[in-house]
Amino acid sequence: MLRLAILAIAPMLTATGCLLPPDNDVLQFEDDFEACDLCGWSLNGDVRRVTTYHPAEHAMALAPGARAATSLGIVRNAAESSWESDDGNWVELSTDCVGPGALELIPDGNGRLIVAVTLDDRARAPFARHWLNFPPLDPAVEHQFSMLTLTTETLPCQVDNLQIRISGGLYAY
Amino acid sequence: MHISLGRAALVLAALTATATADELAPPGTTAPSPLSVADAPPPAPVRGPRLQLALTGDLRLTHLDGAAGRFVDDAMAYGWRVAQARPLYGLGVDAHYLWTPIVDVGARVGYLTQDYAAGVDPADRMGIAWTTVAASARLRWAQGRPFIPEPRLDLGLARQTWTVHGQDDQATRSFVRVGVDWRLGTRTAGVMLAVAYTLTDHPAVDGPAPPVGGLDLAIGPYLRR
Repeated sequence: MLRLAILAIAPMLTATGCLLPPDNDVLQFEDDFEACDLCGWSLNGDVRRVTTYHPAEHAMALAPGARAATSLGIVRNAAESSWESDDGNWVELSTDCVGPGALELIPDGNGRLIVAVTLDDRARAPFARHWLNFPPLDPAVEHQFSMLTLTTETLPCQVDNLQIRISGGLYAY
Repeated sequence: MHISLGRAALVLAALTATATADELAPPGTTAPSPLSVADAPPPAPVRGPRLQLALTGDLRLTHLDGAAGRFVDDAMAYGWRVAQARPLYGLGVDAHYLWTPIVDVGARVGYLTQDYAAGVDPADRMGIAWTTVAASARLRWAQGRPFIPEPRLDLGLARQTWTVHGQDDQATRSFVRVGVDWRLGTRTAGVMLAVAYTLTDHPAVDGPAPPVGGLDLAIGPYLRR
């Protein structure tokens, strides 16, 4: 019996010995809405910080037609070698609106880009993780990102653990 | 003649040594004795130890909880970078009263803890701590013999502390634990090995609720007095 118990336990301990550290080598922006009440965001319409599944877990709730924006200071350097990729850049978020939504890069008039995310509000759904890829970026050119905007149209949406991951031109995923 | 007198003396001595005065006296000439001899009482049954105390190291394989898969999916959906139904570990103390018929009754207290998820910052964890108290009943069909598994049922309550981003949220949960105990040792001391499955109530959480049921393995010393 003791041998059976050891046989049962050993693989479990090996497989789940510790939680692996997250891969954050391309993480350029992250907001989990826990530190403060939407500080750093400029709001247009009904946008609030709400509690989700735990008293310590919060999200941004956007009413229909609302918009939230925050400034960025992300630079994607020009490529140093010909094999570098134009891919590997995305916005990652959790939301209770179905689908990943749409992402556009809009020039801000100062040579930089605004990352504009429109949430897919065709319907509500259980919270899910979504990834919105950037359009291909010319690796020979330096890109600067000055702002991130979130917009809803017809349904209220909650957004949590918002991230922007930029490869820097060195990696492709 | 001298020899005959000696034999007669020996016979008289033997008679007086093996017979009482009543037996030698003619019938009806002696009073009855106030002492009477009864049958010997049956030997008193030997009762075993009255109490058992056990201290166990506990491991609960929560990935065998029915909610484990959903927890991982939900945790990743809410943006945790890593999530696993990891085994809870901790300590337990058992006390059982053994002089009841058929079933040992007792109580168990325990403490289990584990981290289930990590955020972008590896130090940002989602953790669970379970402090439990339970009433226990164990079928005594081994009749004191070791190495025979004895079925056991625990009904209990747990004080759950669910920590997210460093903030605690407490709730009371109920559970049922069904399994068997093995006593590997003597009548008075040895090692207790237990295997059981714990079923818990469903938490009213719309989100990643860490699984806290599953297969229990417990091992530790016991004493019987």
